[in-house]
Amino acid sequence: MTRIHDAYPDLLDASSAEPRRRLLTTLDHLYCTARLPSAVDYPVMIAIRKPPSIPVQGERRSRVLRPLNALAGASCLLAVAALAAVFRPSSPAPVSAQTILQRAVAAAISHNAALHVVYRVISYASPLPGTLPPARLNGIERDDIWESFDARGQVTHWTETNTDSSQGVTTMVGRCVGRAGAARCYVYEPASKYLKGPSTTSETEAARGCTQIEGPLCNADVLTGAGVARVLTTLLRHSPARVRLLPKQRLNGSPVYPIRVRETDFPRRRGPTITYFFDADTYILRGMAIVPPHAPGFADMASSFMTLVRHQTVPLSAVPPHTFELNPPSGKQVLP
Amino acid sequence: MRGGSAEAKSDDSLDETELMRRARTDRAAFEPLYWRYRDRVYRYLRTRTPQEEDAADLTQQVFLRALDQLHQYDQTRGSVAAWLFGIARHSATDSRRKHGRRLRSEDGLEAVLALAAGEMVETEVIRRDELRHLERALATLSRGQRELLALRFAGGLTIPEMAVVVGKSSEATRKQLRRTIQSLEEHFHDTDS
Repeated sequence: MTRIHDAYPDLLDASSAEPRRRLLTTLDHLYCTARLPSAVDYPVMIAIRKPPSIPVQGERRSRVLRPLNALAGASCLLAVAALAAVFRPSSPAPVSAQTILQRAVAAAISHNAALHVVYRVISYASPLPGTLPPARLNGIERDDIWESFDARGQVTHWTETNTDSSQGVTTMVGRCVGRAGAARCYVYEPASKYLKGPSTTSETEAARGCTQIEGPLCNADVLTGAGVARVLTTLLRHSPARVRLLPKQRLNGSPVYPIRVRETDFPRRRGPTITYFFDADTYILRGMAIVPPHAPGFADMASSFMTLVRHQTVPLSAVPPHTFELNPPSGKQVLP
Repeated sequence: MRGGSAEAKSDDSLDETELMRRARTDRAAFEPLYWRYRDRVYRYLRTRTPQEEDAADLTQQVFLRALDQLHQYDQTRGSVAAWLFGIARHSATDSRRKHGRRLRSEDGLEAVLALAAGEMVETEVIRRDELRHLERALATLSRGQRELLALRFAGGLTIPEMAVVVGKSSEATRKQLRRTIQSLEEHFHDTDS
């Protein structure tokens, strides 16, 4: 008895003729080849597992559209003016990814204030679609971001601190502070006390380093909703087929608009699929899922899932001291 | 797990009923069911939607909807599989209604055939030819008959489960499936020869 006999005992038995067996084999191949992309798992897992109750702290629910300045130029002003007519609490569902992204950029502007955003990132070693249990947990990361805005709504300083941990122990800290078109960064391993950096990189150099990887994964501003939205807006203009708005859904209890992006220009011209989840009311970035392609050569790439933990706007006077200073720990220097 | 031995099926059914019961108070109990059915639901929905991404999104919606409706599952009315595929079927129909008649094909079979052909290695010429013959044979079936095939092969449902999903008796469903396979067999081997 073959696998086909075992799978279809109601349609095939030991006495069935060869033509029937061939037909069922062909039908089996026809219907059973496809596999669900792993990116779909994330929102369902969030709904099933409900991560430890970490309410988003300090989230602003204001829907008042703050006036724009010349940050994005005249064309953006016109777009926002048009949007102002529909950007209201009971606005109808937006019809395009472009609308979502424009609202995300517009909603993020602050004046004489600072934005504090924290994400929790969970990564899994290698995508193993359809397996039970799912792929091994690789690590947990905390992504802590500050941005300060001046009176005109321009970003004057930013910081991003990534803290990797495994089984409750910090394994690595990476930190960058930026201002005036340049960033200073370091990476530190507490266990070995090795410190890499500080190094200084201009925005131009950073952009050059990312030429092999087009798209928000590399080119994003600081990983805030507005930063991602600005990059996706550019991507939408140049490669609209790579950006797709998916049906509204819920993420961790909040209604969100998922926007899916296919990366490209990885080796073999295959790249991960990244889904960004923008809050349907406030347009902040509530989450992100990065899933590598199911293809030979990518089996060892991790999947990552990012969830918003804190989103808070505070007056500049309330920003903790030294927030925008690099302050690398003392450690054994290694070459950058 | 595609309509296999009666004993294995019985064990799984008890297991799934217990998981559903626990899931009402602890959603984490639903997770094994998600991993067990995710690909099957997706494959079924691939036959109902013309694009792979639509099927993936619908699959996600089906399970999110299932999580919202855990309390509505009634084991006396059918198995977990029948319940899930009932949700999937309604979701596909709703989606089709929302998108109106702009869909070129009636269902996703074109895309499924293309995928199946594309997944073959170059040496499997015979199998590729058989797929072409099958495509012609499938074109002779009604939408209802193709639905039955999708539930049986893509979804891996048993006859009683299919009957619950389509709203007919087990006997009527069994007869219709057998006639469908026979009809398909005649056309498949007619075009083959």
